[in-house]
Amino acid sequence: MASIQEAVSGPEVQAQAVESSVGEVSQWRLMGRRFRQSKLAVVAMIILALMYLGALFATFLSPNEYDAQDANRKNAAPSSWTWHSGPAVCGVTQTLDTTNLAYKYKSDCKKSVTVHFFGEGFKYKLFGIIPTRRHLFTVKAPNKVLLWGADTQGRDVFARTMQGARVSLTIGLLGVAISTALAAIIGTISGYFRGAVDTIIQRIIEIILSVPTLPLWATMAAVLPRDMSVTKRYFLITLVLSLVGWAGLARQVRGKVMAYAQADYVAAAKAAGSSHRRIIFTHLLPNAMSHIVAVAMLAIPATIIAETSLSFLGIGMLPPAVSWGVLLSDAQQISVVLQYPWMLIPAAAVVVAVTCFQLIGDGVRDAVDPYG
Amino acid sequence: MSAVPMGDDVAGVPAASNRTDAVVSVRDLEVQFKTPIGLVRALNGVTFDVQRGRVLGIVGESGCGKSVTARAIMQIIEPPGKIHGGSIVFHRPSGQDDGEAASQILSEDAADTAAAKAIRSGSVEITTLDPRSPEMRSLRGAEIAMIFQEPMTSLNPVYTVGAQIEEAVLLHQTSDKEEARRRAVDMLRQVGMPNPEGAAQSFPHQLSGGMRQRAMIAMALSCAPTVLIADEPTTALDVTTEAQILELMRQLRDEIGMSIMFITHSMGVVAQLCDEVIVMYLGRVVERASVDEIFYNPKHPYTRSLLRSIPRIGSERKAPLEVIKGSVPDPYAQLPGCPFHPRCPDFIPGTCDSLVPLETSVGADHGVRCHLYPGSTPTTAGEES
Amino acid sequence: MDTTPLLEVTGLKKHFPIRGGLLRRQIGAVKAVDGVDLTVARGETMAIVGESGCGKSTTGRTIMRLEQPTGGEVVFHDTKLGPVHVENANSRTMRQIRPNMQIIFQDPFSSLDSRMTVGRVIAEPLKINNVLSGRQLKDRVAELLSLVGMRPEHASRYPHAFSGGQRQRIGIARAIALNPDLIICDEPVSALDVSVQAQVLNLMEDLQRKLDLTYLFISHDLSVVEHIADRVAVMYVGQVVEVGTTHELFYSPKHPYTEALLSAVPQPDPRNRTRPTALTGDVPSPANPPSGCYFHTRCPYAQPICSEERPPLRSLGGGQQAACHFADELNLAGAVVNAIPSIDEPTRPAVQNGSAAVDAAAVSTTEQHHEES
Repeated sequence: MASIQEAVSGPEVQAQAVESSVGEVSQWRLMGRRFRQSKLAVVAMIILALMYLGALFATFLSPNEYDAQDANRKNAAPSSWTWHSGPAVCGVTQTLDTTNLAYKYKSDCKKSVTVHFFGEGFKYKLFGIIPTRRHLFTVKAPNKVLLWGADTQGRDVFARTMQGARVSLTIGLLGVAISTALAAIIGTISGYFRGAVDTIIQRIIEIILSVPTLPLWATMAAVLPRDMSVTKRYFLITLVLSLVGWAGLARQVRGKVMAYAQADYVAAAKAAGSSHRRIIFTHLLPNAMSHIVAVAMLAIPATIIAETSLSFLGIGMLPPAVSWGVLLSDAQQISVVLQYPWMLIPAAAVVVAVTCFQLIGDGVRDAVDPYG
Repeated sequence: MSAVPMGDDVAGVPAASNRTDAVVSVRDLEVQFKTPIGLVRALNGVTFDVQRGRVLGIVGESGCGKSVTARAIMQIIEPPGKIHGGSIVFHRPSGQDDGEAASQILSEDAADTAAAKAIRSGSVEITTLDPRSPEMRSLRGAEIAMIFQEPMTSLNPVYTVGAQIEEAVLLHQTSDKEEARRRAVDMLRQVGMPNPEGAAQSFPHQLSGGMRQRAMIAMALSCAPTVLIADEPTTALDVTTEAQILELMRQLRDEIGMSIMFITHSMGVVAQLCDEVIVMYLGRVVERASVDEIFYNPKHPYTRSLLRSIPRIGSERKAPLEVIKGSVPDPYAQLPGCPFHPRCPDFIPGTCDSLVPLETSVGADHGVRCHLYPGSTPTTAGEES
Repeated sequence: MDTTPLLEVTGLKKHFPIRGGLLRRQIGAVKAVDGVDLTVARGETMAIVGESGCGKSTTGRTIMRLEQPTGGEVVFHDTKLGPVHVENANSRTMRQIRPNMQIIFQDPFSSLDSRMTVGRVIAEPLKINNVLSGRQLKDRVAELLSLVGMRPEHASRYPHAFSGGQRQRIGIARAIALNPDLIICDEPVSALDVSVQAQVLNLMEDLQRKLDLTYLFISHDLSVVEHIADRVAVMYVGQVVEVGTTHELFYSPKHPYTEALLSAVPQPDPRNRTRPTALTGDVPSPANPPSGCYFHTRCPYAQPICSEERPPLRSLGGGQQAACHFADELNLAGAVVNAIPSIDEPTRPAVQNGSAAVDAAAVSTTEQHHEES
């Protein structure tokens, strides 16, 4: 009997401790706890955080400029590594294979070049403001360290992938931010006020959703003049993507708002004389917000893929701008797959980023709605 | 478990039940749920018998484990719940008499099935069966049937009510489709469905709440089970419909000798329907007696407080009701000693909050787990008085 | 008790349109509330009983104008503004009378916003109406919490930390925050555990005395209604079929439906097993009610006239009203009075330590309590 009591009293003390602390924990913090329980989502979050850091420090991390062409490095394979009082890359000699007119590279590890950390390289501005020449790693010119090889123009694929991440990873966030804002406003109006407004908005959403998205994007993107500046084009493409993307989101927001509007606490607020504005901003939106976040997280990968597809088709971002889609459109020859597979690394980046966003989205959704 | 008989200081109404004639015997049943937040001991050693041809009421509030008990018997506990200890024995009818009695009323042609069942007579230890095994599957539905609070959970919305009953009949009883159809309509008639032919051709959503409940009962009874487990079947219904379902339950017991385990939180329903009652609180049986004893001679402070706190028609209006302080504890909180001690008006410091009371007998077929009664305290102190 | 009415409802209707077809035109209506007359006197507890779908909750919400009534009048006698027609009051008037009519809900989980602390939940009506702020607001919240039997420090917790009964107390604190005259209680104890129901009912009665509240108590539980109500209205398919004082209605019902309801209540007494008046058939759909008296399809006393003519709610003397052609002729059975079995206190085993005296005192108070009730 005594042993049973001991076994019983243990969890009781714990449970009481949990009870008193749990009481003052907000819904958001409870969701955070549940999110951290899903290991995959946490790992995905770490990977994505690294990718965003990579994009932010793209120029610092890359030893070469992303748009510097080099006739001596056309289609060069990734550098071979060796050890020469520190990590070093092997020297490379270029030869032209006259039978198929392809450059061949011979690696000679006896003529290795030592890699310098935090050495000086090309000039750039860190965060766009601090002028510097420091890089994470460099080699003495004219040698080059090509982490992931070079493309047909001899440009560093690693540098280009990092640079492309800036467009591809942010266009998803920015596009979804715009479409979420649109969806939150339109969905809330539709779900809260019901009636004719709702009917009209729903029919519009149905029309938008019934149009196949790819041709729609294509048409809208094709309207943008080709001689536009890179930044302008970037923002307009984002806008194009979000103008199509809000419809599905708005429908989800509407459903949630409708459900919350039926809750008794909303009736209680009305009974106390609350205005519509107050009900929407203190009850409906905060409650719907966690669901909106979850849905938005799942919409980001779709936007990344959309940008990649548009750029791949040559109607999204255009060279000289760099995005993962642009890089892949450069890599769209059979010879790439067979001879220069490193040029497909941006595709791997897309896959990793999209998968991570999906996993985080799933994690957020489960954390927000553990029973749904 | 040391049950010390108290003798004749209690004017117990002689219980009509015969202890040896149990259909389902549950002994020291323990069910635990390992959740990410903590361990929930849903059942902490539950012991009771369902007597043949009688209605056993299981009464208790949220979190007392009454539904988990039912689901444990059916082996349909939702994960992560697991039977952690104890036994559940299902005693098959020993002879043909039960089968015949049932067959006369249920259906003239069910005798062959009853005979088939008699061949498989003998006891089954349910806890040792795999929940997905063919033995368990044939036990479920054919020998122990269950009805739920919400009929829509057990009726498939895309098939007609008739088709669903036919399917059950075809699965366990006959292979003749025409015969199955006839029996389905027959079953619906027996549960008091007005216009049974029409009802057989309706989809579940076309029926009202009470009719749906009847349809579910018809489905549960279609294979002439020995035991019917009813998990709050009237909670979602209106009083007039509830009265009809209770009447149907009485008919099942009186006319075909069905053994029923009826789970409810309503003391009124218990009083009107049940023969024996067990009162549960936080995963334990705190009191067990005949229905008359429970209402007229309750022993456990929880039962007593519960009976005093319910508003009754005819009691003095506007007089404050007697209350039980506090509320049912959190399921994660495992209290030492008697689970009711923080709310108990008769709390004995030092005893109730440290020792789990044992079941002690306070009359004929009346057991209680409370330190107020000699024999309940698991030390020598209890024996002295 | 003050007999001036606080609330007068006349011919209240709430029809929900059934829409269909491509253009979503109205093709019918669910007559959830179809001509309800009610008078609630100041300080009394008026109960509305009925089965699910009879329109009792909709009646409550329509009176509060949480639903816009389709027809009829709702007159609220405000202490400052005098009689106000709630059904067509403008938004300024509504804002002024809202604090005087509050509501308590059935579901203790849906009635509190899980993202707000209990303090914010209770403070919300005060903030909306700019009644108090800062320190005073905090003090008022603490005061309200102790009024409903909770501790002031509970204000910083979130609703998920509380049980159903405690949540219901928080909902009550919110409802009384603005010192209302009328509280509409929509099944306030139906979702609670049996052992907690009594606590909440006692609290409500206690607050009624302390704060001069008038309750419109909506419930399906006749035992609870008999305990708490002064007068009762019985609803069936959107209409009131009988009104009377609790005693009249329970012990000499005049409408066959009231009789059937009363006989169906499961009495908590095994020595008093009743065979209720079996009602045949189902409750008619409020979208397509039968002709004449809505109850004639199930009434054991139905005559030919019942299917032809709808009986009006008429006075039968003594304030009792019933809508039945034969209210004067039928001799209907009332509720079965439930003898409460006397329960003896258990003899306590001898306790060795010093706490025995305290325990004995505790037992004796419980005994007294029991004798009072």
